[in-house]
Amino acid sequence: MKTHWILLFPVLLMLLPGCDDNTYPFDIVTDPFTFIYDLQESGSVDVLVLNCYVVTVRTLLSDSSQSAGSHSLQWDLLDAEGQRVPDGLYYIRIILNDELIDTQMYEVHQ
Amino acid sequence: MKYVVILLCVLVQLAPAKDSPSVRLGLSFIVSFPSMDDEKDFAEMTNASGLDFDLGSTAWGGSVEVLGDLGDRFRIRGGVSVSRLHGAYTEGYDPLSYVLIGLFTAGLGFFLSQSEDVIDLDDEAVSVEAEAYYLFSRTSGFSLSAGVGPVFTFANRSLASPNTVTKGSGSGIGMIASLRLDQESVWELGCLPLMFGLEAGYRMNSVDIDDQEAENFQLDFSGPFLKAGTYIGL
Repeated sequence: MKTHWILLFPVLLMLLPGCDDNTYPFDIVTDPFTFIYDLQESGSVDVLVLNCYVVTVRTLLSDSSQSAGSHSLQWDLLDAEGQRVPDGLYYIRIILNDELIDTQMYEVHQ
Repeated sequence: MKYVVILLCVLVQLAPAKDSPSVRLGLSFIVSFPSMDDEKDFAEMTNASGLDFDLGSTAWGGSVEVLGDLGDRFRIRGGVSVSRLHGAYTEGYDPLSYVLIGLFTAGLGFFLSQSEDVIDLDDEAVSVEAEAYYLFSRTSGFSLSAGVGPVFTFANRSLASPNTVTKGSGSGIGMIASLRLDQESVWELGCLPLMFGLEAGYRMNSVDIDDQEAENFQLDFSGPFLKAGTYIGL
């Protein structure tokens, strides 16, 4: 009987690394994807993509008039020159009436 | 205990009357507080996305250096130092799972479970430093000096996420200004003349990352520092 309990130890230890799977508070993307953002009020909206050096690599929306509510937008993982961005962390900033209202982080990789 | 005391008395002897060596080689431990404004912007952006990213405010490092006297009033120092600033977003275990696994493994799981750096930022600098000091006070026991000199830094930045690593590097020149307190009396450890030194100062040194994606991103190592070193006379 004691032998059975001993056999449980390696099984439980194997479970340990799996405890954190899929709990990252950001999405991992490999292809063009659509993201959603909410506007509390109507106004002029800018949507920017920044890399991990806090450099804007793409402007998805510029001074676009939008109404309050939920909106969606696609990023094709291309930069301003039309090249696919290198793998890494990217941030989408939603700016409403010149005020930053939301930042979303994504890990882009092949 | 008596033998340990006797051994220490034999090995370590204070000899205040002995002149301090004009050249000394040493190892120093360094703590610095770099400004890193661009990294703070990165941390702020990451935190705005809902993560609890913790960017350290203290860089730790060490140096190997040589000090040499030029007459009674001047001293020069040359050395190579390394410094590292770390930041991370860490995920630990779910507390309930942690407790249950700990119980089921008779406590073994408490020791084996570990947190995971989901986002791991490392800023490292390797610097070549040279500094000239003016000794405005020198006794048989200690000397106090003030110095200034150039520093050239090679720096690299590594940002790791679960599936990617973004690396950038660069180099830049700057200045160091500091005050030094050096021991002038010699402790003898066996046959080695041993001395201690303390240094506090300010470093002005930023490095532009060369990565094409980085544009004007800088690793700014500017800020106050403290250094404590042990030297042997040559």
